[in-house]
Amino acid sequence: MRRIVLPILCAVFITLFLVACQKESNKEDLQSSENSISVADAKKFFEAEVLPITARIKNAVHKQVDWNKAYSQIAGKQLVVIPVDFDKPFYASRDNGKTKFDMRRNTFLVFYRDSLQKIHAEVVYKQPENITTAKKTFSGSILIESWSGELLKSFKYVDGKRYKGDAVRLASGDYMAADYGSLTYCWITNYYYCVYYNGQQLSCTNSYAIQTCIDLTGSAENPGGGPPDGPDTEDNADPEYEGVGENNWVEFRDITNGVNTPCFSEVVDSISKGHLQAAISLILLQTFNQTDLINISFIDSHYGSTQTDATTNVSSSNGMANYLVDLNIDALQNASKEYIAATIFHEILHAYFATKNIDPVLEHDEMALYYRDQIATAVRSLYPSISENDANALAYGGLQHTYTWSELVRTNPSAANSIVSINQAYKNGTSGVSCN
Amino acid sequence: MRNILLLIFFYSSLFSANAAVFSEDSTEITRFQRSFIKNFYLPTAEAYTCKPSVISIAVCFKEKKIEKILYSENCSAALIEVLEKEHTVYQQTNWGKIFPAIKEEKEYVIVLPIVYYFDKTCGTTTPMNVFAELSKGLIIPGLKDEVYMLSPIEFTIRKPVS
Repeated sequence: MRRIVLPILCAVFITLFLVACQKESNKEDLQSSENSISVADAKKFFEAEVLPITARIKNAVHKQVDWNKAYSQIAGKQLVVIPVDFDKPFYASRDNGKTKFDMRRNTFLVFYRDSLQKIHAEVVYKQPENITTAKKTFSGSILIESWSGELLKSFKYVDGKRYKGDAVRLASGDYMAADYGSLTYCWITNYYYCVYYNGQQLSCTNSYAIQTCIDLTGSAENPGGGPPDGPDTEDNADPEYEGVGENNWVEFRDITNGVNTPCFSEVVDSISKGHLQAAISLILLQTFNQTDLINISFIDSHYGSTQTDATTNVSSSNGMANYLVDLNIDALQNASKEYIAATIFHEILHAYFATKNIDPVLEHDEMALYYRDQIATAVRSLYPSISENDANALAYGGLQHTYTWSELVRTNPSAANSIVSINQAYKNGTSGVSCN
Repeated sequence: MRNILLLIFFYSSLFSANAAVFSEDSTEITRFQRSFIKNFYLPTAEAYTCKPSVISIAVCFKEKKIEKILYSENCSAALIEVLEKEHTVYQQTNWGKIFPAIKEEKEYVIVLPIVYYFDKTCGTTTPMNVFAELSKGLIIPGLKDEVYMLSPIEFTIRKPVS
């Protein structure tokens, strides 16, 4: 009998132990997934809870989303983000329409869970005001609406500080007299629907206006911190709206891959089908306003020498600009895919600088100072097996005539030598994913 | 030289006279120009020269279809390769809307001058160079049919960066 009881008791103990472990494990999973939200959750919520609300604010803009473009993002809390498009070009203006800011590419539908697990769906309208190429902080205003057009929140960002505002919707032409008290800063933003035909603007209609007032002398919030009138807990904090969409996949309206060399073409394809868009979206934020008029093409050709890896040419006419990245087959014929990708990212930055009319003489210095980490990140996102050190070294490619590089050579010559060696190894194909 | 028609215009007349030739449908010409511009780029080697130029393209139609495309003598092989990509654009354009006098059942030729010059990245350009190139750019061999000339499309080119 003892022979039977002992094994049974052991089995019971083991089972209880396993069940306890399992429970503990499930508890951890549950804890880690609290407040998390998947694209599927967001879509289900949107279709069941948001879309059926048909009562629209008068003149509210007609928005649309493509769920294929939904993605997850961490911005203070976990979010599901989808770029919002409009049925017609939609602009905001602070000067009665003289200058208009394109709200396409700057408007997002955001989902997140609060501490009670309730899902929130908010439309985030971002209006950057002072974007530098370095773009370390967001300055500008952000308006949050419900999908049906009710104003929910508004914020003003000044020098990285966030101020909460009070926003009021006005009918078109019905401008509320702003209370321009000494402590209050108010502004009116007009929203316009515009009609284009064959790329030319035919007309714009002032759809509605929103007046926003903030008290700039009051204490600023920490971006991503708790709301002023609620408990300052992480769970109840607003998302970091200023970060929404910053890692968004954005599209060049026209990307043409005219590269003939199969391996080069493959790299261009993998870049243009996502990774390039993820990596340079931050950089090209301002470019989106003109996206309809900007085309980028990739080709390869024989330069007859190996001195130059690639060039970027720009041809413009009638307000349209074509950016051509021309890869030098002679220079890149043995290069690894990582090296080719870094070269392409480097050239795309040239294209971006051209859109900003940055003096070509300064482009490499600008790139060396502010964009090497972006190139390295982009290369790593495309080829995850590359080490951080190697990716950073490739990001230095083509920047050997810059002040930053000179400083590195002066202060840390061994690091500079190492970067040169790494670049050579990837260029001649002894390191990285081979093209041959 | 028998089959060669020399179209040499004085620079200023080139840019002013054509406006009167067309058009009843500015939308169609805009559509054509935008499609053309979208496909155009200057080959890298030529962009490096910083040398402005004028070239011409003659698209010869016969029975509503493109019979042949002729290029001015100063078009390089690399540039012609780029311009060949415009074939569909010519074919899809309703030329009758732009030039109402065109009788589509007959043979006709559309001539498109293209001017390209460089921005400040190339330093100062020499107007005489432009003029010298202009005359070369308007010599198109083989034209003998009814010719309709478009206003030139102007491109500003930035010196390539690497």
